[in-house]
Amino acid sequence: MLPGAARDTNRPRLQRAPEVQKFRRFRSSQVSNRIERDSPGNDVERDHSPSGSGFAGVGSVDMRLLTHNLLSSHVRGVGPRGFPLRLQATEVRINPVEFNPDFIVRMIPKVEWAALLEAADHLHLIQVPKEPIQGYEHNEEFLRKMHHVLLEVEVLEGTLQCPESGRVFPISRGIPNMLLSDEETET
Amino acid sequence: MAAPGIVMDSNHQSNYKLSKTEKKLLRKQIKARHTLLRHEGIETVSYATQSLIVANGGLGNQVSRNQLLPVLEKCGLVDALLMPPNKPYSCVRYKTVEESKKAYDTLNGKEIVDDLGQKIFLYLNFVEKAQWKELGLQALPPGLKVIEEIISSEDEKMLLESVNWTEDTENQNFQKSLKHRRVKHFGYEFHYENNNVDKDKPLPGGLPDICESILEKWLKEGFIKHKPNQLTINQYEPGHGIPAHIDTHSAFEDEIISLSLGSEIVMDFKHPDGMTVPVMLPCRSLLVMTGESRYLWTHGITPRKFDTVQASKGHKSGIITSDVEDLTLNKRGIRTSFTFRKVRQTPCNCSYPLVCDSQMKETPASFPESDKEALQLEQDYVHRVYEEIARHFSSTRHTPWPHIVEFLKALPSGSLVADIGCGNGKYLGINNECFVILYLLQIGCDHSQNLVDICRERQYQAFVCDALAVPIRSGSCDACISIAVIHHFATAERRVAALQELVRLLRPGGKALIYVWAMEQEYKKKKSKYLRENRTSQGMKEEISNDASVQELLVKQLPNVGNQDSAHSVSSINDFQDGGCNSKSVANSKLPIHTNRTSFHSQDLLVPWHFKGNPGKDKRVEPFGPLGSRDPGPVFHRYYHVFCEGELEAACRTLNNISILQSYYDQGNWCVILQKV
Repeated sequence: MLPGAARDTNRPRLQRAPEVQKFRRFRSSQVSNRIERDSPGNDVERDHSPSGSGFAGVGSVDMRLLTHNLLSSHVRGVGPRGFPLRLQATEVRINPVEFNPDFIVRMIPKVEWAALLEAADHLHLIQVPKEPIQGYEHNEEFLRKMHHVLLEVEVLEGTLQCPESGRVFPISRGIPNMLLSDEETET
Repeated sequence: MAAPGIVMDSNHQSNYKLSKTEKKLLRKQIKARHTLLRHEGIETVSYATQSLIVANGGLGNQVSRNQLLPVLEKCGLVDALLMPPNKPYSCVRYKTVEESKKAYDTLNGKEIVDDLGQKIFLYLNFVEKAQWKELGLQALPPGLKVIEEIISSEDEKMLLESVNWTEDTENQNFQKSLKHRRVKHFGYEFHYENNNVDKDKPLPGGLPDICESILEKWLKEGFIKHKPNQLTINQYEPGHGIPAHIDTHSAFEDEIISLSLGSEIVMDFKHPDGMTVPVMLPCRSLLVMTGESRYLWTHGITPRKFDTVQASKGHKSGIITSDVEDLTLNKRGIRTSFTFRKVRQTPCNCSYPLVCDSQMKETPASFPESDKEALQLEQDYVHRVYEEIARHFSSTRHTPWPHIVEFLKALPSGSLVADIGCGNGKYLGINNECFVILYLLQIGCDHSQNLVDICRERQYQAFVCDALAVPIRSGSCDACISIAVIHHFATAERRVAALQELVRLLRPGGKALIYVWAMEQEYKKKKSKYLRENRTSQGMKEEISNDASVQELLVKQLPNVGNQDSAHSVSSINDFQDGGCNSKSVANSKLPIHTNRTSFHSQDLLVPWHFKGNPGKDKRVEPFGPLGSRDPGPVFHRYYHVFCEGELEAACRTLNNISILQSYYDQGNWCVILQKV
């Protein structure tokens, strides 16, 4: 509609191309414009996605307890004493995940149980067994419980605290921010 | 045009012969179906349901709600009519399948007249569900206010009459008819050449008296905090607009206010990450922009004759929500805006340095000589840039590379994999794609909060950290991948430290896959994809000239900067030309700027990223001219150290307790798979 309409001598700096909305009708073939693809880090790609954003995800996923179990403080000089990070949560949600017993069976040996118990305790989750029970590989009730604790409990807002140095890392909108300041990383 | 009912199921079509018109209609209808699927991801179904997609009957096609609804209601009781903004279709849900079937039979191919008086044919297809993915709750940009009914209709009339557009005085220089709107300046003239005002040359007469008293009143009532001393009056006819822009930081103070007279309009506010918030500015309302909305967000008016607005009465100012059940079109009238600003006397010190002309980097990046300089270089030319370009960057990153997928797929089920520098998480999704055979536990991390946000939206576990200090238990990972990360570290020591950190995470026997960009973009007489994707020679020329103009633009944008720097940077490019892999550290030299899709002439360089704010949207918006789409957005430069043959391997060999399993070249990248022993 209005070809050339958006050209204007008033062109303040750092603006982007003005948007002229041209609407297609369903009669012409739609040629999708290629989007900018200079692509260091090598991957030269084209956007094939119909939606532009490329993702059809319906909801987001926040920090799970299984992820917490892998995290350790990396504040200089703390070493193994930086584990586990003390979890405080102000907002927790339950996000159902399809149950996959094989996956849980493989994860159990990777879990640092004491850290999991401590985190579950902070979140007032009572159903965590004190330790993996004998023959858990075939105990569906146990596996379902662990599935829930490890994968379905998500921390939306809260903090992670280094047990050694006391440094506090925020969890905001489900994402732990573990960046250290320049001073903290300097040798 | 009466449309015969056409049975979509082709099995039934053989029963009778289709007429020419029927065939044409069927063809169009199928085409609409394909277009919906291909471009919008909307799947139509071949059996009758309650809901129909009405192709061509959309707000984006100048069809308004009160035009379409009566047509649809003739066929039955309409339960809901969803009209998404800017889309050439809508979605209707009838109370019963019978009614929807009736609409399908009678309205397919029906001609209606749009708001501009043009004929449009509707094509209907059944869909399982009438739904529209909500864009999420939007809020006004921080620092933005719209105060309704701030002046009376009498004052509005008086103000409008006070503007004498026909006035023909010697002071022509501050009344201009720009190509797409009329504009008049008071207090100071606004120069469109440099988007600034001449602070030493106030216009005689100051602001009109009538404005003085109104401003005093607003000050007293607390609507504004500062008294402006510059006024720009703009008049927009329907179809006129103003390109998205940020008012020059160094020209004006924080608070910028704009009074809308004569007619309402929708103004679009955009965040650099691509989020757009359309805001309705009713007649006689005052828009107040402060803080983030003034400094960081662009604002503009899309040139068009109709705005998408809320259909419900009572909704006046503020955000046009994405409630598709409540949108219609509003015909624009003549709008006159009074924009008041206060001329700034000192340089801007806002907290948005990336878009602040007062705070722009005066010198190009130089080769780091110390760890501290390296850190600063990475901060300015890696971390900050990815933060800014995250959404756009992510939209260009979705196809996983085959060799990397192969590496992941070869891992035993139940492996714990950490993707250090995961970007938008494109490799974190490998798990989902083939979860039938393999269950990897994948977690990712990146320095960019915005990229990690994208991972979260994609339902991946990721967190924000630095690749030199990864907060994962030592020895816990079965595998690590580091794809296109190590080349962003600015010294050899830091690159080795990043590799060391990967190894720390691995359990004994664990493997790491590392990809870095190669200096050699042509290997074994084969050009890399990066070079080959170099379009046609014509496209190439265009790109180069585009780059050149952008750089010119950058230089122009910094009027206070001595030009010796840019001259220096040109000569330094030549210095690097034959430096090749032996050019270790060149003291005090400026980093050369790479030309995209050409060979590298230096191992340490800046690679331009041409930012497009809203890639998803840009795709569907047709450029208004051959050059339209090439309008330069901001250009960001990322620092890279591209690796020479053997360099990555050599860096890995300096690490303890590892063995190199494989070392190869993959499409312009050097790659190593190593194992912890």
